[in-house]
Amino acid sequence: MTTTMSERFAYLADGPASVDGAVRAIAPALELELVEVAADSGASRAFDDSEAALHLAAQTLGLVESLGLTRVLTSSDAVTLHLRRSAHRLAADVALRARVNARLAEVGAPPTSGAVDVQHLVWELASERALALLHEHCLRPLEDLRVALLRGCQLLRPSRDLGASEQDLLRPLGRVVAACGASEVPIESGSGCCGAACAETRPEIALGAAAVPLVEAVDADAEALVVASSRCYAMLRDRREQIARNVDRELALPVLHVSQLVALALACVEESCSSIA
Amino acid sequence: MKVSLAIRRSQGGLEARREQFSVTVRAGATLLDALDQIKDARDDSLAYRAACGSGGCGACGVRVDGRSVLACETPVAPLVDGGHVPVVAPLGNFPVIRDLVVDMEPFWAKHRAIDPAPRVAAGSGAEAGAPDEVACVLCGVCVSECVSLAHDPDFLAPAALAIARRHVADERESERVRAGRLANVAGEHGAGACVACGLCNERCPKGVEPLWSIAELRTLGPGGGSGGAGPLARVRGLLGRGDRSSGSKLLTALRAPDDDDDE
Amino acid sequence: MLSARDDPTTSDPFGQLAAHGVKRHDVLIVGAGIAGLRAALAAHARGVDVAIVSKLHPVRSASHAANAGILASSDHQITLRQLLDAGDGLAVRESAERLARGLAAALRDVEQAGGIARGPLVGQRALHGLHGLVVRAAIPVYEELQLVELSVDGGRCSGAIAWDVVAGRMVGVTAQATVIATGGLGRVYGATPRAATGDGTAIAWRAGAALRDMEFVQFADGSAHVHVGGIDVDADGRSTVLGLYAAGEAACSGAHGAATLEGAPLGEALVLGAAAGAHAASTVVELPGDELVPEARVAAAEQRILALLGSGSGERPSALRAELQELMVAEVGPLRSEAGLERALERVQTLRARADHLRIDDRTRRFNTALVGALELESLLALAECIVTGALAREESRGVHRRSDHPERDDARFQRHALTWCDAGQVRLDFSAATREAVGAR
Repeated sequence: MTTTMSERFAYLADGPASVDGAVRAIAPALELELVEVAADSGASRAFDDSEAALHLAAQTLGLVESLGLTRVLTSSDAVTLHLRRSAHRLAADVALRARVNARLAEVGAPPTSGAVDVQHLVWELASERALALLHEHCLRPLEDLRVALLRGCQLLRPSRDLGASEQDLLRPLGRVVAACGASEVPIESGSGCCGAACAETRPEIALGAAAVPLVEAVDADAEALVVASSRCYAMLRDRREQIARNVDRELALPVLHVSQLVALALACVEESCSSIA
Repeated sequence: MKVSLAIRRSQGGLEARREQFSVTVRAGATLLDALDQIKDARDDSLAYRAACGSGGCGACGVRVDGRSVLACETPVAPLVDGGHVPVVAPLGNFPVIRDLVVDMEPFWAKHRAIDPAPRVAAGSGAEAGAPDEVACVLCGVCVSECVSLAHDPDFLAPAALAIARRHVADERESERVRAGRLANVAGEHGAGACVACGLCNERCPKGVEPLWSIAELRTLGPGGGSGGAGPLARVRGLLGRGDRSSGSKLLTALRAPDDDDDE
Repeated sequence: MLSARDDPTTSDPFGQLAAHGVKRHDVLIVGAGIAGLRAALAAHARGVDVAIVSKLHPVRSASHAANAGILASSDHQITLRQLLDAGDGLAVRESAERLARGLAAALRDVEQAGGIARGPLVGQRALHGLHGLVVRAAIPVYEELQLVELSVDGGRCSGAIAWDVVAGRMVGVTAQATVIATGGLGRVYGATPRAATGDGTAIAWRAGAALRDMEFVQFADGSAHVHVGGIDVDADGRSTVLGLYAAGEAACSGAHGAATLEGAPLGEALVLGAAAGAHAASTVVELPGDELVPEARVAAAEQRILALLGSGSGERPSALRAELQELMVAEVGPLRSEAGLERALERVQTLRARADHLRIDDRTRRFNTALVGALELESLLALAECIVTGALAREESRGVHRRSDHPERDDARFQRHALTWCDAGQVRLDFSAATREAVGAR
């Protein structure tokens, strides 16, 4: 691997530690050079405080730009949507950008141009470049593994804000899973919702929504549920018992973030994310 | 062009069944044209709603292969590509009256509940601009898709919330009216019950974006960042770790002009 | 394949066979488009008990597509002159003047409700806004009720009888004043919206009301766009039947004369709708009546409808409708001739006779849209005959009525209104006396 060939990203390491660990572990083999940035993207308040969320996104984007970077990588669907939408708004609306940058200046934060390309990990993994490397380095093809997929609401919708058609946005996770050698078990709710956004405010809605993909995956005899977003991962992993109790079902199905599946395939699991083994 | 559709039919509390029909339609026909053809030529008992036939009235919402659409705006050819037989079903999240006809009353009850007209004094002129939500035709497509509604039948749901946002943004209304509107959509079954799955934006046949309307209602509402009591407490709650302190500084700066009790 | 006919459980799945009843309100509005909603609000504002019956939910009404804007008027004298000019000698001055004077207030009302005068979604914004006000006023709306009859006795209308499409039963609504606001009849020509079947116009005609100038159909891009004629009313929306009013496209107040000015139909829906609603409310106070829609009449109407269900041997309503539409487009379009109109008259009359034997396979009461189609067909055929009869009799070209064999306007013979009456189900046409009040530029 040479630095000239690698893809350089600012990486927002704000996922669960096991996901961030897996991302760090697979990065070298996939020639991803990650410059870790600790910043609040604002995604978690995008629906409750849109103004603050926009400013936090701008601050994050400005920070990335001040590091000489033009690309951001994240493992979360919500962060992807929020940063992409914010970047687009800031780039397109001169007056808005001036107003927001003035606020950033007040707290000594660097301004943003909005011209930052925000990528989700699974999109990058599904690029021709990364897939070729994945094939090349796949030490432990997961040939016997039957997995159901959960693609992550905010990696699919609103497609207008994500800048691609919903059809195109449906594909990346399946491609990565196939490159790892695993086989996909189709479930109806694969492009559905894990309920994470409501987990605190309306837990019964969140738990009800979260049960759907898990139940379908179990019923389809999947051996694991692979999720594209670290947010879905946290929801389904951390609240599994509650979800299961709520629907009175045994839902002892492993949930893997796509970075962890890739880590398994690349056989770098022992060093980086033993918690999932 | 020959078209086959598998239509989900039910009536009178009998269990739904799937019935397949094949008809010939003209090139460029819509799903509604195909349904008309079935009704006129095959089985006049097929029940569905349609009123304008041109995408403006919102009457003909159905689901095709699980996806909610307006039948009159949906070309049928791509649906039957490669000999596929699409399943046509009534809108989701609604009780079914008969075949493709659903009982919209729960939807209308929510529409009524948000007070769907401006509360403005006579002579206050026209509403400024054209808020995105005025394009809503109240077809129920977004509601049919709504994840939160499937788990909470009392959720106000995207259509009513989008209309509520339109009126909240109407500058002619008084602060008091606006506060009332925001409180009205802030309850347990209000905007806060949205899981933000984005299906409403994605499926809306009119380009309305209820997801962002909901985000704005939440932001402006009593629990949100920009309104109601105690925003400062929330800002303080944000005081983050390590490098994130600059984020908190930013938030504090954002709030400063509005908070009387700021330090 | 299991059809409804084979299913023994569907003839009365909800056990509502004998459940028809009679509701009572002071004022009944039939139709919930812009004119109907405006009329309801005007009546409500005068403190009477008003209710709306509509075959569609209000926001589904055809008014949403009225996108030509609302005629604006900064000087009502200028607007009046424009209306009279457009009317080509057939405009009724009093109605045109009321319209011209009422436009400014009508626009203010609509803007207050979230509407706009012109621009995208004019019709939809006005419709949704007025509906919102009706919601706020808690005016009852009986949705998905198809008008079947008006109850007229001794020359006075005492309400309406309508088929509840969802429940599958007949409903009577007693009212001291009834306002017909059921919209246009573009479906006679196969134009959209498909709900524009002129039900109220046809049923008012059958109940004894005169229709005026039915031959004036305004076309755009080759399809029927606005019906200029309609139920003959004065500037207060009063028809020739006591207690029966009309507004909107269903009505003909004469304000438009022989052709409409752009934005005038929507303007008149608001102005005449408000006038009719207000006058209807005043009738309740000034002419109290105690006539009820007789329950026996509701039951008889229900029997007539039920006899259609599962009737096996005739022709499908959809087939007759398609034949009618093809005929009307071919022979009774923007340019007409005596030969074509005579052919059309004969064929429409034949179609009306054929429609006495309709085939409806669906025997289910609940949401039987084949039945609704049959009821609508009855209206379409009657109205088609009225249009053709008027077009044949009017041997001149005026406004939107164009005759290839009579290319000139002929004031000596035809500066008169064509009044169409129902005579035992047949169309009878008289011309009014020469309209002295009608003024138009040559």
